[in-house]
Amino acid sequence: MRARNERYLSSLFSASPKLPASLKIEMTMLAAAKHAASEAPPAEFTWREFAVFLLTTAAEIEHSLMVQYLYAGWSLGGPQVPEEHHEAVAKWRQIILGIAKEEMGHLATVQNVIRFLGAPLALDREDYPWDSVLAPYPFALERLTRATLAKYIVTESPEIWPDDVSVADRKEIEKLAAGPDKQNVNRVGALYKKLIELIGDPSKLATSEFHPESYPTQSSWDEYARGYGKGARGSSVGGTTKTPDVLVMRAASRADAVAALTAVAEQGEAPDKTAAQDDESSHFRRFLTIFKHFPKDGAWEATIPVPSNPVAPGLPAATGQSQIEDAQAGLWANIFNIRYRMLLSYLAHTHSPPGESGTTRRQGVVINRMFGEMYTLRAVASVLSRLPLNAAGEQRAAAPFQMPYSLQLPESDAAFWRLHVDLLAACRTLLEDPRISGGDHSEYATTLLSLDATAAEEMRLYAGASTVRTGPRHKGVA
Amino acid sequence: MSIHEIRILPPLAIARLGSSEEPLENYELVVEDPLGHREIRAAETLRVDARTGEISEAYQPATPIKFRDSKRIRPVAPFLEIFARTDADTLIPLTVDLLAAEGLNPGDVKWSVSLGNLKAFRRTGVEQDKVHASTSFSDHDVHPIEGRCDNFLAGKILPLGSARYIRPNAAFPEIRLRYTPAAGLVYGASERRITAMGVNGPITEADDVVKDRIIYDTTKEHATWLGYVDPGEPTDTNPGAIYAGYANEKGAQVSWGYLDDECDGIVEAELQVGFKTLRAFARIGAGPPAFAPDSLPIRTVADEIEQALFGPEVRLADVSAERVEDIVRRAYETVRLLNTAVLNGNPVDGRFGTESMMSLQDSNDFHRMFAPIMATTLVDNLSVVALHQSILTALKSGTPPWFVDVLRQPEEVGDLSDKGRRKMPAMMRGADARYLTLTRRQIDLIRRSVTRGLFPARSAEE
Repeated sequence: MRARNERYLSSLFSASPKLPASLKIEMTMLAAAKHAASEAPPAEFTWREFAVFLLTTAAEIEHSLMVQYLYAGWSLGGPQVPEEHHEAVAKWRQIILGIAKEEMGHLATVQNVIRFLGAPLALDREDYPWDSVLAPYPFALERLTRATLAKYIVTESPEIWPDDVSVADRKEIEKLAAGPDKQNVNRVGALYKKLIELIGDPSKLATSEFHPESYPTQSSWDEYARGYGKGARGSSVGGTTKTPDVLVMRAASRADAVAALTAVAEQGEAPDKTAAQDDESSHFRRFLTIFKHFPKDGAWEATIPVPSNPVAPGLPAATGQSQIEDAQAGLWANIFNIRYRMLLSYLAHTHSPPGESGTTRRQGVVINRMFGEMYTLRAVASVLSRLPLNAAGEQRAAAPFQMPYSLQLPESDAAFWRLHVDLLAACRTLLEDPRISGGDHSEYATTLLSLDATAAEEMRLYAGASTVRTGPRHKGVA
Repeated sequence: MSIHEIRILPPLAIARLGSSEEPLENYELVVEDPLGHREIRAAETLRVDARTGEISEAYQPATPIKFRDSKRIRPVAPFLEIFARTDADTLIPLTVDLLAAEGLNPGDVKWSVSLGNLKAFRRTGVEQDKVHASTSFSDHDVHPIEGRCDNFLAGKILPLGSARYIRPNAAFPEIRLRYTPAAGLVYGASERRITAMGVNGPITEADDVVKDRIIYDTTKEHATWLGYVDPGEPTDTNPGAIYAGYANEKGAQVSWGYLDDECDGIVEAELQVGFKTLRAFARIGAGPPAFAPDSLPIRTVADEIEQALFGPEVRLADVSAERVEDIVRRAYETVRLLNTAVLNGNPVDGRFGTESMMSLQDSNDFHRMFAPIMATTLVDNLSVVALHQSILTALKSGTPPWFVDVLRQPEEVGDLSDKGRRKMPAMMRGADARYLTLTRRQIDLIRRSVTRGLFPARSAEE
């Protein structure tokens, strides 16, 4: 959440974000509900703008949760895991990465509703760690621990916890989630509840505020879910048959938008008593299951020793961040950040309006590139986890997930392709650095360079085809 | 050192049809560029002197390997070699010297080749449509293998290739046979063929495909192959109607009575050692040439045999990143050969379902509403190839595979829901059957490599 947005939040909520956990959430949401129910939108807003503002916030939260879950999931494993726990740890990893995939679906769905309201995409977020009054808790990239699991559980918890969670267990989870500073952990569901009320209310948002013509450029399950979904796809991991269930819903009407946001809200929480008993249906329940079996302090270690909030070389690490100091790891961290930016750029590109001369036909090309970048991010994260964080050598490096300086989006299809080519060129410089090309993962670097060279060649044609009809094309390689 | 047992290696050899006089030279497939085509690298090849039947030399073929001489395709003609077990653990090539030590000479080895082509019989069920060929010899001449059939015209045969016992010499004293498959021709039952049913009866044309190769006698009492129609019974092949012919007025496929020269069967070797008769056999077959020799299918006969031999589960010690990468490479190579947009069921220039493809068969066989398999936007071939290359690249980083969940399980081949049809492997070229799955053993290999990648120390210890 941009810092300047906090100004609006402070006017929206009567409670201070610094209040004790027990008071903050109820008060803030009550205050928000009061606004939502009133006839006039909050100061400086129209209802439409307010809906976009809340959706942007929701997008930022989903984005942050997704990245956190990826980071936590990737931290699981390592040679120190006792053999008798291999199966369990592999299963936890798959569950958490499955939830991250579902968060990806949530993010895509929220973007669709934003597009449906005719607003620009909301892909930005703060770097870790960061906090906001609307965030469930201060976001941080952390390895999986009982404390981080507790935060995830509370964030995704239903209003009423299921009966089979004892009072003592709930207290322990809430205490761990609050941490030593006794910080508040908000429920994500509350934000969606407000959004659903607002978008579903014709007296606040007239039908004319909606843009069904954005439907063709909204992300679809067909294109994004890759066969994950509808609760029945199953998983290779024993005992998980219904997940992940990636929801990517589009909106062409008010009812669609409400249904999409409702589905997203419900996938996090266990929406009813039956779901609350099902270990697979909700994020809440899935995290709870892992928590029950997760090793208590010192019993054994389920994760690789990765730091909290790693950052690539550049500015000195801020409070709460961990500088990646190892030279080779630092370069891979830079590469990770570029590839992450590429992923976001592809995502933005898929939502760009259909243009002339076949832009729409290239939608799938961009989507496939985006999925390719997901694989690359996973691979580079894996490389980082095998390199030291610093000279001490006790901790490993890890994926920094730092945001680019800007997510200002290009205005034309050709400009998008030029951006993609530029990012490939920037990455090439790093991959050709002798510390990478002569390093521990040189074979991977060489293969990635080869992949990128072909991609750049293809993209240059697209960039040229969008603007130039005849004449020779530049033949260089990125 | 005495001979306790003989075996023929390889126990299974697949020849490939071709009409050139020169057999295809030996080559290996080597991955040099991780994202490129496999390199076809020439490998040591044995040259057989056509006159003497001896091996005249072992040589390194020139590159690039030639797959055809003008229009004639070079056949793949495998060697089958006899090995002798001389004690409990020793299997060595049977040679002239080894025979001599038993008081034997090469002429004491008796070879028998029995081949068949039962394609017509498989459909008509008429015993007289079975084509069989067999021959036995101990000399070093070329022995044509002539397929005979009760329903053939008098004096006509179906050539199924030839076999030759290679004459051992000082330089190449091993005992081996070479099978050279047939030319890859089509034989028939009629000079003319019906192309369609017209208003005034059948429309016919001269059949140039089988010109001068009419061998099937349609006048014989039980000769039903010309004009045969699948009866629509459980004994039909699945899918049915997969024989050359025309569609009659009811839309049923009517056979033109074609026969090809593919075949399979047994090669046997027999050797009398003292009072014991030692026997060994191998299976051989002849199939069509490889038209994309630098690419391998994602699931091969070798995968099937490995599963049959070792079971559906892989020992952790046999799990390796290279083996997983090989499966992904084969998937990528398959995709590279597909017209993904057409096979997905995308409309092509406004036309739907123009080719035989899985999406269409789902409608034909099960009355599923016709729909493309993947989202139509996603199947641009270059982009799908690039995506598979991304997977191959990511695996190079050492990250464990993450795609176990999207693999189709063997129990799911008939799942025609959107998500069922979108699992991997997704499509097959020109397939009109149900969806493909990896073998259970291949799936298990990928699944176990996840564990191995996540907990590397344990792997290193093993």
